[in-house]
Amino acid sequence: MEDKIKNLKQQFEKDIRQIKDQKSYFTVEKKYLGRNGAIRKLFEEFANIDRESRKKFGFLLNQLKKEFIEKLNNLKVNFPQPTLKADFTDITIPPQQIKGNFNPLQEMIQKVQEIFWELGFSIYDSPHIETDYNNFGSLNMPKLHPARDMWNTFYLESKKIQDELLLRTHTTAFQVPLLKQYKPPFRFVNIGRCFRYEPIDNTHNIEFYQVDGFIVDKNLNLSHFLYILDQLFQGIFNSKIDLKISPSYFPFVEPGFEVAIKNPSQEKYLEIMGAGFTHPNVLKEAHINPRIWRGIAFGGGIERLAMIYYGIEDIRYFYSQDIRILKNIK
Amino acid sequence: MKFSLKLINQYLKPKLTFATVKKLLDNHLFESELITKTKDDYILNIEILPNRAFDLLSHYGLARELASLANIKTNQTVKFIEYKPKALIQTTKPFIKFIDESSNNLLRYSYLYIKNIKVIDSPPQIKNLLFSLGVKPINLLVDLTNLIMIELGQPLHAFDADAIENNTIIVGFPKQIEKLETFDGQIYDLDTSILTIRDPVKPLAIAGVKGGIKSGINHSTKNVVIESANFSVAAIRHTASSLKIGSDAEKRFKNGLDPKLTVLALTRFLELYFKYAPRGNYEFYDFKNPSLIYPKPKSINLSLANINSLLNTRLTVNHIRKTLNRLCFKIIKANKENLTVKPPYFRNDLHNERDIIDEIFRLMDLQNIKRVTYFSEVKKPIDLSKFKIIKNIRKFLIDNGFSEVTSYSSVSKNRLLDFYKENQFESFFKIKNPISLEFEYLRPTLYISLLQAVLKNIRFFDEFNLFEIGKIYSYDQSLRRHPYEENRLGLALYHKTSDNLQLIKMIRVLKGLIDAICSQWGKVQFVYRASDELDIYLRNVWCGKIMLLSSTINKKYKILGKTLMAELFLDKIIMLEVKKQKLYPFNKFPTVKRDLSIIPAHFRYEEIIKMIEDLNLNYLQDLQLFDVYIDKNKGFTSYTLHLYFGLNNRNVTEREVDADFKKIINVLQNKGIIIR
Repeated sequence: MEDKIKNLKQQFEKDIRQIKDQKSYFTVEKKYLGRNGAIRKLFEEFANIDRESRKKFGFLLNQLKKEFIEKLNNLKVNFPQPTLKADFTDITIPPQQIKGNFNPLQEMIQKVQEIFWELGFSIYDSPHIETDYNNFGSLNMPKLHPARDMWNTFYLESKKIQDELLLRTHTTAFQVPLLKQYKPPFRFVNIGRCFRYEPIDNTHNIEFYQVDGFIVDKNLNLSHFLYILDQLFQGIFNSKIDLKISPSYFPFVEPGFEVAIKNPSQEKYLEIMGAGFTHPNVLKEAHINPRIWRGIAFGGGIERLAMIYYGIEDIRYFYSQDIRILKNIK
Repeated sequence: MKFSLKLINQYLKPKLTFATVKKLLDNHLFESELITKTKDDYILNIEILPNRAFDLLSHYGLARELASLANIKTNQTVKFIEYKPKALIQTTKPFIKFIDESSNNLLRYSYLYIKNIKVIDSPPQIKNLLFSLGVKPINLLVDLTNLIMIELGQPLHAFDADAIENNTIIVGFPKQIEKLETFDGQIYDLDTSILTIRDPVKPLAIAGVKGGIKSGINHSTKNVVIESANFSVAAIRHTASSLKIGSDAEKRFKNGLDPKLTVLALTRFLELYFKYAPRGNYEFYDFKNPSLIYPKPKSINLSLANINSLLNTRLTVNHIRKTLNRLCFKIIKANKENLTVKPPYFRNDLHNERDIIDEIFRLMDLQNIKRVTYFSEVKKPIDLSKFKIIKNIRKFLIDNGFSEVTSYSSVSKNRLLDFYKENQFESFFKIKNPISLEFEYLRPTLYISLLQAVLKNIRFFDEFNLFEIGKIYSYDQSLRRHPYEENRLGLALYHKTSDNLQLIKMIRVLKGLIDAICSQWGKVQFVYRASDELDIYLRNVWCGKIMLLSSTINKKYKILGKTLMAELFLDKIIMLEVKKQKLYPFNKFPTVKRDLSIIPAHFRYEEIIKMIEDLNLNYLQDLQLFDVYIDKNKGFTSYTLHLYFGLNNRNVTEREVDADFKKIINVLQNKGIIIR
């Protein structure tokens, strides 16, 4: 054992004299101090000898190890440092982050606008603060109409303005004012923020965006209607979308229905929109003769579209103002 | 509303399976959801929308509808078992007297007076059924009132007859404000507009909504009055909204109810009550308001052509006739092109042709509608390019390192106070019924939202840029009457630095970005307002502002870095005419460049430039800020400018340049500006 230690020491002295650069340094370090190095091997042999000598050689071996480390460390300091030439340019450095991050909700709004624009719709921005007449009365919901309960409304404190003002509960509030402004046939869409008095949770928010589109033309029928809806959803999702409609009720359309969509990768249909033929009373309200003209209308939440498109599970993320969330949409 | 399939099937022969019911509901009526499945029953939640609340908020009504649907859409023939009990006989001398003081807000008031009752528990089958439908079982009397409302849709209410003073029931309004504690322990202040059930001295119940605790049923009750009434929709809606109160009964009354149901429900009550309790004596009394005639369905004319052209179908008169027949319509007249039909008495939602088309629509196979290309030349009324401009701005900012935030329009009072004094609140919108104080006012500036966003991100990033495009709200300043809304672009730059040089860089970047955004409308002018505020003008129109976050706000929110914010009034900018651009003559001769380094003393940069410009020099053609240097030790800022001299028609000489340059130095030095 003693001899082995002696030999190893001699061998080590010889080896370190050969060290000239970083590379040979690491080879030697590995040979003696590595995981399968010589010192480790000696320690392993050690297990088989008697207790008395174990004490003795243990001390010797530990000292040897210490000595090796010290000698190697001394050598390290003396290596010549690699220098960069003055005109050296490292073209492998990473790019500077220039681009910022979009908000998925606003991106979806833009996407929907572009698709409607291509389908020949005019795009409108409409007021958030509305009258009771525009939000309800003009849409076949006079005061006391039971359907008003479907929307929980925020009212504004009055400042002696004749009409009571409220925050619109749906973009449809702008439908009659728009219809009154122009002569049919036309195709309009208006997208904007709406407000509802609802407890906030992961699928409900007090503020949200809605799209409301409508066409007024002669002889529009159900087959045209579904054609438009197909176009719309295929445009948004860039793929073939299964569309399902089921009967529903909205006071300003009749027949009214609910639209649910499913893309091939999903299992379940997701409700996405309310739609229907504009109620004759709404057309009359806008001085359009319902015997000549027919309207189709549809509307839905943009958040829901964006949640499906980007795989977002919490509606509050859109309003979180948190750059970390925005950065993670890749 | 929750429904029990077992209870529905009580009215159907043969009984329908769960699968059939679910399919019929989803495809042809309303959305439904299975809540629980028990040993022998299915509990479903069905969202009854307001148009059918009149006839479908009961198992009886839903069963009738399902029988019709099954007959049309399945091969089964399903019979609806109508509830046709024997008529009750009215007492001539009722023990409990009734007075109507409701000013036509009562349509019908029917009641039973039952003597010598015993308050006992309901049998387990009733308890279990109520429990699975979400109703807490209490005792037989109360449970039956609930059960019958669920079955037939008619709310019933049980009073302790001995708590009724003078044995007289009055339906009317309080003479002054009265307090009433309801059975659930709430105390309500009833003013003179709230319809109540009362005796000559006190209110007993809020009509159609909730009963009082004092006249409720308890273990010592001996005699009861079972009320089965029909109130006006207006009265119930008024009560519900002014007291902010609701109940299952209120839900049914506010949508209107068939007045025929009152007696039907009481008959059913007696039938069930005497099944489980010993038979005793009862009196029945029925009051019908003679001056109110309940509207009956009117006949409606249909044109086959209208139906087929809207639904793009080829239905025949025969088909429509058969379908409507099964929906219990009466066919009054029919020929090849037209029909006249009358809806059944239990439907209050069918008034015109379109309503009938809706009935035919919902019974179609909606999953297989063919598509027809829709194309029509529609000229767009005006090319509103707002969305395109916003699209470009978004892209420009995102590409230049800005992250887009979306914030709530409603903000708290505290946030408003960061930027406004309380006496300015006059012109802001306050929400009457905010969901919380955090969302009480409509923001009059995007600064509030931007500051909020900056504060949120400060913990995670040392440096960031944000923007938001959104609306602000205020009362129109000039008219003070109309609400004013405006789309604005808000920009915020944050850097965790205390270095003023960094801040100067940020200001230059921000101004440069604003300049680029607005370039298609003209040259942006930044006008000094205060040491930390600038106004932005485009073609002499005020279009925005820039601000440096004040040290007060920095201290308040413990912001260590520098924050710079700007707001551009997008709607105003978009209204401006786009500038017509053209090529201007440019200098073909070389220019001479001179550098000028100055310490501006107490002058602002724009003032110095004005001094130079006011000289109207012959040869100075351009002037650019090249470098800003801040000497922290000596405490001065210096600017280095590049000055370009030249002429458009020949080379400029050194002597000419020197003369101009000297004039500049002279004027600056005279004002006390140091030339380095």
